[in-house]
Amino acid sequence: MKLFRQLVVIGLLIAAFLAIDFSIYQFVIKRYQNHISEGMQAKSIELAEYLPFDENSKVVRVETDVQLTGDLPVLDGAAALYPIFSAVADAVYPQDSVAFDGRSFTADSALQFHNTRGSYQAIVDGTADLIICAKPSKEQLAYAKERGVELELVPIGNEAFVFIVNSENPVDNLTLEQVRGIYSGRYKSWAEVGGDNYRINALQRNEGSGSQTRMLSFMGEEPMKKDPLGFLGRSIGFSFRYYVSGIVENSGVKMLSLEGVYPSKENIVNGTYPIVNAFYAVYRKDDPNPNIPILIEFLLSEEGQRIVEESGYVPIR
Amino acid sequence: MSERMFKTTILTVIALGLLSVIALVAYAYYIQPDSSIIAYIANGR
Repeated sequence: MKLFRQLVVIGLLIAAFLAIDFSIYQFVIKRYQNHISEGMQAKSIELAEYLPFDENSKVVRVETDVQLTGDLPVLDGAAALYPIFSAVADAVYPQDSVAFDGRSFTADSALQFHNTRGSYQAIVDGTADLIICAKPSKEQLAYAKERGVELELVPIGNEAFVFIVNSENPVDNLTLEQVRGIYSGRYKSWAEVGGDNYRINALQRNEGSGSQTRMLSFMGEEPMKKDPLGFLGRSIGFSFRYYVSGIVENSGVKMLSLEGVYPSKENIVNGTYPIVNAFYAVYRKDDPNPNIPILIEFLLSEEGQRIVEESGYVPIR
Repeated sequence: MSERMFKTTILTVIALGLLSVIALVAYAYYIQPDSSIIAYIANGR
């Protein structure tokens, strides 16, 4: 009998640790695992798939008489908008101005990729001349001001800001009030917004990323809160439409309609989707590079806007 | 099973159990920076 009790205690102890290990796997590790390439993990986008001048590239190609020479502006920008600035390099830059080592662009390449945070730092520090990004965050503007740099933002296209959930989440639509309520902590359960009885895990992005900046602006004065036990429930996150539907294309997530309107390209154009924002070509006002006005003119031209549209976004003109 | 052997077995199970938890948490921290919000939502609920 004593041996039986001892074996039960040992068995229960092993079962308890197995339960803890399983929970860590189920609620943490399994969710962190990316079933995507190393390149995608490192850069948020597969740079090689949209390389300029590469015949197998997915990059949009347009015919134009504009060809830059001389002091070439260094291009950089957000992951979600990389297909655009890569297509711009393909259209108007000399082929030998772009160098890619298989993982990143080399230091002397006129095309660079540092994502939104890195790009805003690069343009202020002077290592990039023109970046394609969403609006800068307060911190990024403060950094520019601190360095005495004034930024010029030229809108070149529109994009929908979207909310995403697991494709098995029964919720397909939220109102703007519900989204604010979820992120401010007023709604804690999906059941309160038409879903099933799971906690809401409202995910945020890194400070300074384009989508986090947009989300903070959407929330206005309402502070965002996190439910420490949210990981036990169903998640919601935010991003930009084409990054979700065109670049990542993960069938495990779906975009939500807002106020009954799905974030389709048509609904961005007809103005019915409620959160649409411009994205910008950004440069320093004091940058004397004569190719910058040429690039801006090209981006707003018929060919430049065709790059925006055929890359999957909505042109500004 | 003698009392001494029982205690040793319990301590061994606890040590191995804690080790497995630490290893899993360390692995989670290791892969966390490469995780994307989209993958996190798709892999969970």
